[in-house]
Amino acid sequence: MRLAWFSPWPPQRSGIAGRSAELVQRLAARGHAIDVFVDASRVRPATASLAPPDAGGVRVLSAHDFVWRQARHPYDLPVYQIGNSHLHRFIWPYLFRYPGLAVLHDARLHHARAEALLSADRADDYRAEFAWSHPDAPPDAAELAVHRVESSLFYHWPMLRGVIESARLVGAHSRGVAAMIARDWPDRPVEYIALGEGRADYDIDTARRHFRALHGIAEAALVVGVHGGLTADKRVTDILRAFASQRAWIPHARLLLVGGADPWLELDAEIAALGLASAVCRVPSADDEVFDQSIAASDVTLNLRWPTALETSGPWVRSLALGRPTVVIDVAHHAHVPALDPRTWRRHEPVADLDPGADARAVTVALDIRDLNHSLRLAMRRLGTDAALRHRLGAEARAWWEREHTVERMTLDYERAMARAVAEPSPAPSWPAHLRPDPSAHARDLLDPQSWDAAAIGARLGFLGT
Amino acid sequence: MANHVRDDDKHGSAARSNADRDQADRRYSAALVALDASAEPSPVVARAAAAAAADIVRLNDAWQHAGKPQGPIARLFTELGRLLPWRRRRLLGAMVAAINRNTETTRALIDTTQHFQSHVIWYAQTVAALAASARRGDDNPESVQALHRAIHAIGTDWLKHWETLAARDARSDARMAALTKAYDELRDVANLAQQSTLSLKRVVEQSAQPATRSATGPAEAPAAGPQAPDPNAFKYVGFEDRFRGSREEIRQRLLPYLPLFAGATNVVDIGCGRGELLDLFREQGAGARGIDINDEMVDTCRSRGLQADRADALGFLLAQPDNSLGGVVAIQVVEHLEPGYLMQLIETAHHKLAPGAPLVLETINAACWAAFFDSYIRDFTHAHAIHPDTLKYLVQASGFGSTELRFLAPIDEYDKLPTVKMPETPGVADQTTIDLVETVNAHADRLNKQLFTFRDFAVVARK
Repeated sequence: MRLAWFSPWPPQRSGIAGRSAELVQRLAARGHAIDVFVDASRVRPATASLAPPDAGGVRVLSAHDFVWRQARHPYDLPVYQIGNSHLHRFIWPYLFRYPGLAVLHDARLHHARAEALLSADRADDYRAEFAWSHPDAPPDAAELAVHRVESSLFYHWPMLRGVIESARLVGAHSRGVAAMIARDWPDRPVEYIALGEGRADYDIDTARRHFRALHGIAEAALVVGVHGGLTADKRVTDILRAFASQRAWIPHARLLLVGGADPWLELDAEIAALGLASAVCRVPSADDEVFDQSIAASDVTLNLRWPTALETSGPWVRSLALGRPTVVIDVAHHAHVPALDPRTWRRHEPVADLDPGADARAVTVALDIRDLNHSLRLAMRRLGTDAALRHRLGAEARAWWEREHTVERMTLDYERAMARAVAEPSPAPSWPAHLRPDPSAHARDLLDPQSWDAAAIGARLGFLGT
Repeated sequence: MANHVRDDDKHGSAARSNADRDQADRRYSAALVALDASAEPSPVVARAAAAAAADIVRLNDAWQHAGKPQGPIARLFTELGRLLPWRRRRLLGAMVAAINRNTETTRALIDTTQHFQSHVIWYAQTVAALAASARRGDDNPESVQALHRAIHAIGTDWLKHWETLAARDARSDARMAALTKAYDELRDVANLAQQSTLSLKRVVEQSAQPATRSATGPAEAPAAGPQAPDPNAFKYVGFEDRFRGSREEIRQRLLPYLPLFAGATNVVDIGCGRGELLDLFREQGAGARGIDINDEMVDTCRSRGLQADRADALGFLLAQPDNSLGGVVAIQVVEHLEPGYLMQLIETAHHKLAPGAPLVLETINAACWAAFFDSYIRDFTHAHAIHPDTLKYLVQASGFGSTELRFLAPIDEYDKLPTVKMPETPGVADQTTIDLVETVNAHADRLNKQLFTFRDFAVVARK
């Protein structure tokens, strides 16, 4: 299949970029011909011949080249990697105009759409798209973003409609998100595509010993790991305080913080204030190899991002792959994952199935966000002192990963979804005006002598950031 | 927009704005102090200037070695004196020293000026930053920032509750689905248990009073005879409950037959089963009775007040007077019968039906692949699959004049083999691709016409 692949791409520092590159290589190895279209202002594209790509080949091209290449040699399918981040901004114009397979890494896109429109001074377009996306919401709610009010309310209005109704097929990286889309858009096709990440064959013991030796962590120490960018929404401050409160029960514990920290957290000051300087190990920068080593060196990993954009966490999946017991926040889109509630050490009520023995097959520990501080302390204490529970959760985590999250599984899921997307007809959505511009209007405006001053031309070129 | 950054309450925009303004203020103050300091007279320059002035005095002294000359003779001797070697060396030494000193002084002045200029630039930059933060502050006064923080806090708190409930809701949905499935299975088991109990009860009753059934049984069902009840009859009732469809579904499927029997009396429903068609006849006002060889089916009908008897179909028809029946209908029955029995049954129906009365024989369309594998082989009591043309021929050959085939329950389009859609834009596909697509589509059409047509058919005839 000849694919036009739109995605963030290395060396961009994004989990999606790295995973996308790995997946593209695997698809190419299976005979697909792939042109990867990137944001040329962030990734240096290659020069390529005018001919279409060869089977098994991968070329990295500027997204601006897509339209004429598509006109000359149409691709079988555009594939869009969609996320709630400015790194995906360059994809929007193509997504809306060339229906394809839209894979949702995040299923809440409000921040990305608002950023794309408001940063170009297109408040009216933002208001129109908000109203079109959420016709039942009060239109004045759009003023929150227009007036730069930071609010968690944005998570309630995901602004997904443009993606769902423009795609031939929507792919979702969690079963919960796929079910949500199927419920809200019963007429639009949606497929679950497993998020494949993590290593199948990895010498965990060697990596664990190496990392611990390198960072002066004793073999006998119990390591609680937090992996990935350390930001406020990863609940790092809550984790530090909970860890400090539990040291009496787990005096041999070390807290491992891997990833760059948001300076606004004032992490060092917080660590010092809590008297944790000797108990915390910080690794501010880690490539894939060091990242996996740090997970292997951990006895428990914490993935407490909240609120979420309904993503499936890459560090969490990598932890499952390495058989680590994990602690997460209880969220709807992962409600199908068997998870223990630390307040009862049973599955969360109401349990999703009727199997009375399923408590023993829990894959993770999930915290009620309303009870975060209390539940987190309970989880740390029990997991810090109960090696049998850690072992059981780790084994179930690995088994779950083998069923749900291998890269091989993701590759096959992609092929299945791509085959279905090609067979699906192009949708005919009823766009708001700013998403169906007159293609020649801007050219006519630019030819108007009254608009020849630089400011007016710049403003008119704003449409490039649809 | 600022709010694309996910953050918590502590680090909201208001807090950042305050911090920005404080920082700009601190930098402005520092720059101003530095600028003031740089404007102070430089001791280095002052020292250099004083030394340069002293050098100039020495140079002047060396030049005017004999004081200011008065008159032409004195000026001549002064000039000649400057040519004396020791005086010339002194003058040149003073000159070189003065020049060197002057160079140092100039360098110190330049350094001081550059130092001052850099502080001016620094100061100007901090003034710009301070002005910008002040503007932001003007746009975002304390009360507005407090409002922003409150909105964010309320949104976060609300989202916590919302998401917790959403997770609970998702698990509730899954549990409800699991419970519904378990309930359906439990209901089937309960039905089987109930039927089994009733069957055992009948066996016990008949063992105690072997003549009871023949004494209380309907006189119109002589063919039924005093046959022993089948102890496994309840299992077939359970089978129908699970696989045939709900009563309401069957009623909907039978509705199209009702107009054929409008105003009819003395209609016989052979193999009446759970009595769905008898229900419809009763609602329509048509006089009808059902016969079935399954006791449990008959009991089910009778429990709803329907007229039904246990009887063998052929025996029952043979017992009826010729030209007496207002209609004969057999829904999903003929596939259970042996060929000889079936032919005799149709011929007997022709004898017993009144002139113009309808005969309806509905069965599974075994010529349809989906119907054969989905429905026909699922029922282990099916004896022979009958092609539509065969059944129609048998009916015609038995003397029925008006005979038609009706195909029922079409296969859903979604379940058929899909065809490939060609792009509408001319020239997109080459001729080989077009040929391939047309061949594939032709195959799909042929297979759909053979394999995915109608699940059932009926022969509808009138005497």
